[in-house]
Amino acid sequence: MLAFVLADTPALPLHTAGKYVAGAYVVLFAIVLIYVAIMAVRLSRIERELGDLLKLSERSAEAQSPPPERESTLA
Amino acid sequence: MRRTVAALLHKELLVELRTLESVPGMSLFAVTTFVVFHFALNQNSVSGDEAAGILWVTLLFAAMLGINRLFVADQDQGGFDAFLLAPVDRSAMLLAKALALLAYLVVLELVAVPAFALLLLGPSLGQALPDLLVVLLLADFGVAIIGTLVAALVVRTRARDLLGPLLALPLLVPVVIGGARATSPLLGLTHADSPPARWLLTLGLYDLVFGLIAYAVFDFLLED
Amino acid sequence: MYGRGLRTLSIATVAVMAIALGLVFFYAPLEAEQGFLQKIFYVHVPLAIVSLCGFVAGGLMAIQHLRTRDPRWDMRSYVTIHMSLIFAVATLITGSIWAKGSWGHWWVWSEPTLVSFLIVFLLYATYQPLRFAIEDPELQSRYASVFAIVAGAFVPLNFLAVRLSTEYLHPRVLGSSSNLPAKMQLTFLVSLLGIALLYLTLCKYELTAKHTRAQLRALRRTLVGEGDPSYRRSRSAVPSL
Repeated sequence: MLAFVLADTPALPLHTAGKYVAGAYVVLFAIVLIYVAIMAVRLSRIERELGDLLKLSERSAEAQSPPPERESTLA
Repeated sequence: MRRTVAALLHKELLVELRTLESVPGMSLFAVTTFVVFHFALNQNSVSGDEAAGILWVTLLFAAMLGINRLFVADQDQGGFDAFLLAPVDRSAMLLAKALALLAYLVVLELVAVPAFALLLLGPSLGQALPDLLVVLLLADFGVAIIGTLVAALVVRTRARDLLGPLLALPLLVPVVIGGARATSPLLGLTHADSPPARWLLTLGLYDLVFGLIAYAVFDFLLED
Repeated sequence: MYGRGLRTLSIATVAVMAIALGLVFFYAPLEAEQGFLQKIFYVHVPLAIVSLCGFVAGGLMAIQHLRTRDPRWDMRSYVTIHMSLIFAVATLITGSIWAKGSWGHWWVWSEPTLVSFLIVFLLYATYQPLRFAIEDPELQSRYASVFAIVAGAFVPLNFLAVRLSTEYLHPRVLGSSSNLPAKMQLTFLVSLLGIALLYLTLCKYELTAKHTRAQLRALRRTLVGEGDPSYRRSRSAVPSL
């Protein structure tokens, strides 16, 4: 029984090779995750800027003509 | 076109002869570097791979000095504008500057190679000299083309002395590979063989490809 | 509109990468010499290939930029080169890990792919500093395009030269991608497709983000006018649309 299991062991001891292979694939994973994080930061910045611009446009629209009762677009 | 190039080249060489700002510095740098290598390596003579390495690294870094200064006068004193106003093919400037740089490199080697043979080289150069000259010339073309292109790229930036070598050195790695591998058997302790043809072909191919590319893109650097 | 098709592309990327991972760990056979360690091949080599193609593509886009003077081509060239540089770093790291596992050293000069990548990395690492050092935006774009063209032509030549120089010294340390058994070939191709799709997705993502920022800037300009003090265009290496 044990002989069958041992016969299947790979060339390099799995616990050493496994670390290196895992490391290489983690690098790939890390790239994608870091990129997601960068994009998240950018998205929040865009959201903030868009909110500012929306407030600006509402203010200038109000200044031009006093609007009737408007429902807020911001939840 | 040929007359423009000749006129520009004449101007370049005349300015260099009068101001002597590039070539003496490059040559002196090369000789000093050989001395530094003697102390750094703690050896009285080198041959083969080591000799080829020292020679090529020194020549390359000395060339950087010349490349850094190639367009500086034109940039600082308005030479570009004057040239752009003239009704001539703009690639003429590329050709003239590259030929000038080639000339500087040849003079550099006229000083550096004998100095190297005197100071550091173990085996005598005699028989290997014609082959060595061929390799040097092929490599010089490559360095001249890339050097001119890089010099034009960085002359308008803020850190031109730093960016120039940073851009040029990786681009010149194939020249170093071809040059050093071709030179190494020539400087070996045993009787000099001729350099393997593959390295000469590599250098030639490099010169051809980048010569054509430089010719194609140079116009875009000069317009304003 | 850069964002159109981004969703489809990202879904395709996830699907293909999932299949690729499955193939790598459950389908591809163990290699005779290196055993389990060889599995790094399926991430290292596709990264290398995609990165190189990206650099060359950046050069081609730069040619288009110089021909049409459309700033969008400069933006595409910039993003492509930027992303290829990141993938090049990943290639170097995964290659280094593979070398350590195979040979016990973190760096081997006898592996031509790794050496070529080091040189290419050193070259393209100057791309952003070069852009940053030129203040005028139009000049910056033009000079960056010239650089991208020269560097793009350099990449294949460099590979040739390095491969020629290392062949003489040692046999290839890390396996090559030819003479593979069929199962490995399939796994490799799927991995290559996965990494290529990942590259395209990230590039498209980046372009969409940059375009959105440009649109926001334009919107701000129309709402506020030119003299907005909170918005001064400072020096930047990034092309503007």
